[in-house]
Amino acid sequence: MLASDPEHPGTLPVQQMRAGDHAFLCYDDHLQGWDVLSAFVWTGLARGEKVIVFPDPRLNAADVLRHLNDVPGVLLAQGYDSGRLELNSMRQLILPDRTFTAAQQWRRIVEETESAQARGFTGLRTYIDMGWVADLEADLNVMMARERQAEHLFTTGLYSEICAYERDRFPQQVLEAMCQAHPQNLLPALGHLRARQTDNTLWLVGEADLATREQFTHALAEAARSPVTRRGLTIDLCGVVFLGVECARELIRMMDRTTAHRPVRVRCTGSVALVLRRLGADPAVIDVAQVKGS
Amino acid sequence: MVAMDAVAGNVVQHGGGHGLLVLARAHCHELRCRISDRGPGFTAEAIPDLAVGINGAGHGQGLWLTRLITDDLTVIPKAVGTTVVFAMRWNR
Repeated sequence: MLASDPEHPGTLPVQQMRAGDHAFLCYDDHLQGWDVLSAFVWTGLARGEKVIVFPDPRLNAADVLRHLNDVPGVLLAQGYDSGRLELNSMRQLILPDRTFTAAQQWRRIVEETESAQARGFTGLRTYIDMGWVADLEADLNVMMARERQAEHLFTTGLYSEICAYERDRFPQQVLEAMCQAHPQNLLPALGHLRARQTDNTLWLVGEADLATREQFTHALAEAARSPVTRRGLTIDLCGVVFLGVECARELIRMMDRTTAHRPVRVRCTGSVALVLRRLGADPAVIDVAQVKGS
Repeated sequence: MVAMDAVAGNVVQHGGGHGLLVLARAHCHELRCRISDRGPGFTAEAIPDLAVGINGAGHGQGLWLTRLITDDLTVIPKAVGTTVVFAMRWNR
């Protein structure tokens, strides 16, 4: 079943989210999505941002903290104790209003962003579980309009937001529309790899390690078999947050095999380029790109 | 991360399928990683001296890269299995 639109051009792993991003996340049940949330919180705290989590309203604070505290290290616990990480609810945020309106929510988010900045934080990030829609008995169309028209919140580059939709709680067409309404589309969990291909470019996003090697190799093989064009083939690894040795070797082998009849270039981050070069890839075919958030 | 993945991947594929990874800050400027398994075992001689061609022998290439990008790599054969220790030091 479709987790979210695999063709969405803004698909990225949560580790590459940056200030100013408005991201869609679709998760399958309450056990999924925690690793994405934990990584989002952890990264925000590490970057000196204020973090507010609006969890599924059916969960109590102790449950949420228990899941978040599964993350190794003390950053999350210290963040919560010091107030840099806060749990809240949409019901609480929009007070004194009792009925959800986009205007009130936007006003409160702007206030929270300004307050975070005034207190010395580098920005504000929120994780909003969309379970609040049922909790407040809000109109789906009102919620969808909010999502489509929220870009002004993100223009300063101080605020970022994940809107997390549990699949079973929303109609499929709503999920598809909301995926398209967000500039960013998150992989559903850590450790995932996603491939997307056009005529000349294979985009790989996520983590390329032993667990995803088969998928990685398959995507390379499909790309190598695709019709030859004059522009050659570009393998874009800018969305890959980790490239293991095994996958790097597969890539270099594929390039060696393919280059004879079709030029292949790789676009990637500096750290990925380092691994490829160390393993013997031709530096002349590697283009290092600056990746926001990495 | 690349080095840990390479050695841990080796354990998963050739070292009995599972092992123990301990990562610790050894000094102010050093991170030390110790990975043990209970597989068939190997010695440091299994690591190629020079860069193996990418189409050459597959075994040992991860360890070769680990030795290249880390500050110390020690292979300790045990009665059962092997322990690999390596460190990363950063500028003071």
